[in-house]
Amino acid sequence: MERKTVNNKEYLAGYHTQEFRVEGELDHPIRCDYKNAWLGSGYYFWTDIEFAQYWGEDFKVHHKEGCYDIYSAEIDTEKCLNAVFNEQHYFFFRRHIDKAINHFRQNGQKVTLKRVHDFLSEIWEQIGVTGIIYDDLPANPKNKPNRKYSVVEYEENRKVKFLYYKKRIQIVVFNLNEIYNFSLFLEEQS
Amino acid sequence: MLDLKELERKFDEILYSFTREDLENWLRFAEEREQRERLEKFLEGNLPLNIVSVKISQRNFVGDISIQGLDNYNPDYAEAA
Repeated sequence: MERKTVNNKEYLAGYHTQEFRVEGELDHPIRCDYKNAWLGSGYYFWTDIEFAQYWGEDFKVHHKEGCYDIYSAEIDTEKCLNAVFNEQHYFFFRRHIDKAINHFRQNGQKVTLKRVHDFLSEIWEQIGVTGIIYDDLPANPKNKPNRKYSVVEYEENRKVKFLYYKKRIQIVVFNLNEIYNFSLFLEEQS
Repeated sequence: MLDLKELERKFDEILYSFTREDLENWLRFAEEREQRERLEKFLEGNLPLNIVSVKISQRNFVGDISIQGLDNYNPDYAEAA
């Protein structure tokens, strides 16, 4: 992950993918609070430009302009849970998701994981966690052949499968105060 | 630097303050908010019609639902959806 130090303080580089906009570039990231907001409502960034591009190719080119933009920013992660590289943070994160699920269940409520994350994003903010760094498995929904993270291709039960070796890391930041120098990085990509 | 012990204390305090009724209300609110957001995205042209589920209650029965009907969106209608 790219880090930048300004006045002895370290920031994490993040990449935010959006549809290309003819009306001009954004001056701040767009809060994601729809179904793709896995960790609840917040500002989502990829830590790798590669995955920001894949996200654009797969999900941001199906509108009338047919292109996507990538913005870069520096993110203050001092008060973020780093569930990717910090073992304590990871187990803390997991344990508290389980706690919340159990609390819903013990009170007779059925809840999806997405709902739990929605619920938790409000609690994280209240207790002073400003964001979460996490990773999931890379995906290649359109089976594009040029994806560098799918280097090992193998067949199982007559199906082609892929071995992914790169963590697909994202960061969700719950408010704009932790995001600096947001600017257009790559324009009109397709 | 996060103080995980202190975070845990605060987290538990907030989580366990939610009663059964609070959780029910929160889930209902979240469901309504999501429906509203889907409808808004549809109206902005960002979602195909088949993704938008529209529920019709007796109180708000309006006959055939049409795109024109959705364009005449108002808060009462959203409440029913």
